[in-house]
Amino acid sequence: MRITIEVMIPLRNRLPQGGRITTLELHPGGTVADALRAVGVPEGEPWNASIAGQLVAATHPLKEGDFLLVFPPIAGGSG
Amino acid sequence: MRGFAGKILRVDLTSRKITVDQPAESFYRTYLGGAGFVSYFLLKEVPRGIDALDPRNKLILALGPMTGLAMPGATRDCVGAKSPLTGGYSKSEAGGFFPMALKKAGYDAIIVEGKADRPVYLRVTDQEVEIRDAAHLWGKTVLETQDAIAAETGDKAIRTAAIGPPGERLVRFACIMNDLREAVGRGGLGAVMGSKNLKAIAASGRWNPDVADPARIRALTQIMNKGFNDNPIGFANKLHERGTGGSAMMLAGNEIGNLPSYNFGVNFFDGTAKVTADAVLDTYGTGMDGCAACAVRCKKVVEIGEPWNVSKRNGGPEYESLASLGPTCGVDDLAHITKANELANLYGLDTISLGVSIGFAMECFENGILTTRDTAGIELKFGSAEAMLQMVELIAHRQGIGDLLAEGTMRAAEKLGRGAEALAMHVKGLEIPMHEPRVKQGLGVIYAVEAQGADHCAGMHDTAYMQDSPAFEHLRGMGATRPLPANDLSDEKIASQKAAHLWNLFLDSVVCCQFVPWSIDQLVEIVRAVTGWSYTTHEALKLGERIATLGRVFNIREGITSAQDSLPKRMFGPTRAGALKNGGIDPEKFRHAVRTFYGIMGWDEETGVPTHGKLVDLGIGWAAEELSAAAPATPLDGGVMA
Repeated sequence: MRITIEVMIPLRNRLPQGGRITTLELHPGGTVADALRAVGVPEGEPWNASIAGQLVAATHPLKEGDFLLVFPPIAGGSG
Repeated sequence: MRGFAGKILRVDLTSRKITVDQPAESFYRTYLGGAGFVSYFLLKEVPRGIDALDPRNKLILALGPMTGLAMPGATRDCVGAKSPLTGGYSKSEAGGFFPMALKKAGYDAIIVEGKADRPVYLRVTDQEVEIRDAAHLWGKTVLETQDAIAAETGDKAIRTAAIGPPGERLVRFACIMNDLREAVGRGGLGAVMGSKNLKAIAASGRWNPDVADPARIRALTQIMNKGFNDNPIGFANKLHERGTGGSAMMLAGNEIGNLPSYNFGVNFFDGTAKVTADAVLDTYGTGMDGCAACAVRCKKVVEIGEPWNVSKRNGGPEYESLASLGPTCGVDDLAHITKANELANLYGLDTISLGVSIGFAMECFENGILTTRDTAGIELKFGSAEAMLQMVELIAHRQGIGDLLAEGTMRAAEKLGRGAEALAMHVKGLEIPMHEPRVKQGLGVIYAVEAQGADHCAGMHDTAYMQDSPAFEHLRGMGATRPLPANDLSDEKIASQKAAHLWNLFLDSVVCCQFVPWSIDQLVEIVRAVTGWSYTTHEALKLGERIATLGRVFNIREGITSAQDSLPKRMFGPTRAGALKNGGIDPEKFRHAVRTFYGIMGWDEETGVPTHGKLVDLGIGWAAEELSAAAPATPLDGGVMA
């Protein structure tokens, strides 16, 4: 299963390989957490993620062709 | 008593009588400062049923146990009064340097009563308190006022909290500016100051509070100064780099529908990248600055030359200003937004209510409720940067259509009729901030139940607490349950919102900045080290509950009932585009969540009236008397406004 993931700055700056948009090959039934792990988002690093504008949780199952946007948590004016 | 001056200054502008109260230490421990003082004095001393602009309204300006210390986040004040916008409880906080100057003058709070017979300003030092003539300052901007007071007193250390022409002209969302950039923004407290003919409070002094454990205070200060960048609780590192409104926050916020655009009607804005903090700093930025003794330094400094002439003295736009004067009005021209923000600071206008009021007027214009006959020929269309900037001037001086919009969206819509009410984005009269309640639905409940109306600093921003993290762990210690989706409105979410609400009210009493990521243990330790009391987390959260309940009693006494614990109807439906085009809050779930909040606060689940037992539990049994004089309670009507 192929998905595309975009990690926004400043979260992107914490990734080992950097890179804005990456295409990933995940096993069928792979989740948001699997995708984050694959691009190296550190454990315990807070994040928000959305697919087509809808916020998704770590356990959300991905499907072929999904575009996953990952960004720092949106708080009160910061993020 | 340690950490406090032990003195509250009371100034009656009608009689020009100046007195000093010296409350017992038990009063300080019960109410602590800031929001605690405001809540107590508003309910105790403001007569029931008066107009907010009546001389009998009181302006309460309160500091906290941290104020005056050279610690990050410590230089803030909390100001309260009956609100000209909502007719209910109102308080607002701001930083800068003025709060430190007032503490150094040797006071913990100022209560201003009555009305001067001509414009005056108050000079407060550790030597004397004077009511001085301000006829020559009336009509001046905040900048002109500050410079004139500094020049005529010859006091280089003097700092001001001042109003501009909107406060004088009783614009219902006029604010009080600490120094030149920090707005005591919400609820129209600048209009209360103007109604008293009080142009400014100017303070200076050399008094320093005695603290119980200065070594511990120094150690905690060092921990935060050195460690805020890596602190996992908050976002101080990002705030340090570019303040609020960073690209990720605004662009991603736009993707998920959190960025209000076109008066909360669309929530997808093509020009978002042009109006982020990064765009501001890249285009007009000259650096970052901060409040007294704060290492976070989250304030953008901007400068634009001809023809805009934006001075770096007046501050750059924060997220709320960028979003409200930008996407909410459909505007993506950064120069116009930056100039509008400067004018709001110079004049003393709450940029949230300002932008939302202009966005409201634009939608009224596009729907034919307002026409060029009403606007003196101005094409008040979404996206017109020129019209947006013209509206700032007209509102500030109550000229033309600006006179109507200066009333705020609730009153303007009532006057206009013809469906305008459905376009007015406010809660209890206070315009909704730039955090969409259809995305952050738990925060939306707080908007609805909070005594002062839609306040984005009063609850938990749901999007930041969707997973286990140090930030969530921080809240868990106060009673938060578990991470949940942003649009969850379960009982567990509401319990977490309550925890965050109480924590924020404690912060507003300390009075400490939310942007400095102190843990609750650290902040409670600071209160201990300052005062020498064996202060506990339990006391801190109890104080939050006491403040929320006092605010609620104040509102009930003023006739504001659970019927106003609601959101605009628009929030229960979809936007025209973007991520929320199939969205909207479920009204049944929302109604249940409001009831749940009442219940866990110890308020009646139908009417929202605090129970006698809860008042006793919070040590405010005296407030029952205020309830007995109130109008009959109204059951919750479903939580959906017209």
